[in-house]
Amino acid sequence: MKEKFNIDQPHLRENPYTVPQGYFNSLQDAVSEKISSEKKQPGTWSVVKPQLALVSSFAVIFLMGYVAVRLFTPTVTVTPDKNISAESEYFEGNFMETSFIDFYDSAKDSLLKEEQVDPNEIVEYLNTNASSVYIASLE
Amino acid sequence: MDDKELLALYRENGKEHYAFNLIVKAYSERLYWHIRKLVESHDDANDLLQNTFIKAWAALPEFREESRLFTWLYRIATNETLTFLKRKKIRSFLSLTDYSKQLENKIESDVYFDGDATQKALHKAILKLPNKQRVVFNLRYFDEMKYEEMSEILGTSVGALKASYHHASQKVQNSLESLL
Repeated sequence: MKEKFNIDQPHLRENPYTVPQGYFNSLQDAVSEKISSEKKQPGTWSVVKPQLALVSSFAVIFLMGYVAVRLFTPTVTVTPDKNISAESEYFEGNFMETSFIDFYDSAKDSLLKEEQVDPNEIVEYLNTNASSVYIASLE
Repeated sequence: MDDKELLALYRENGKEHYAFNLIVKAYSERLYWHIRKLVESHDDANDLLQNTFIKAWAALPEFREESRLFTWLYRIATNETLTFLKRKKIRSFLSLTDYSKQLENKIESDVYFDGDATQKALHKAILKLPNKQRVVFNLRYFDEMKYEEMSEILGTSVGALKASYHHASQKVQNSLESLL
């Protein structure tokens, strides 16, 4: 019984698959046809080539225009006004060196002051809110 | 006409198409059965075989005869098929289906499968092997190929191939016993 399932049985090595009739005869033609159709299809380089030529011609035109503009545009030199420069020098000398720190008085800064609480205000608060303070102390 | 004569003819001016047709004629059947046993369906095997020959045609001008033409063609066919199976496996994983189950169903429904129940069981058992081991098993078991030739095709050492075949045949034997 076990011999029946042995993979060394010769008939198991036989090819159980079949193909449509005349398949191998038509295969040669199918392959030849595919090869010739692949040949006809334009390659990547032949597709990219004209696009690349177009882009490079635009680049050349742009470059020539840029060079022409640079060569033929008159240069304008700006000479500084003597009065204006003297005023700015005075301003920088007298005001810019005075720092913000010089105007700052920490004693007057309300942000740094601790808020002072008046003791009378505390007494008054306890008198008016006595019941709520008692409940809070129980909790 | 042997491989050397075919290649000599291919290199003669204007005879490349004629020589390539002879190559297709000489190897199409062997390559077809090799692919068919791996993919099960005739349509897939046909597509893969045609792709194999198209790739061979494109690469033939660079073929330096460091390996035999037959080995070279087998290598292209095997790589094409393994890539195809890998893609199918990924696609079935993404669609939450089992590709080896799909292949098993193909055996059941294939009109171009003439085998008896034991042969069906054997081919289903072979499908349970990993793809590369399936190639090793098929080349040795069905094609009775020498390990040295298999080594040339698969780029694996003879020792590793012998071990792989031994494990594969044990697995197939066990699966076959459980299936029948």
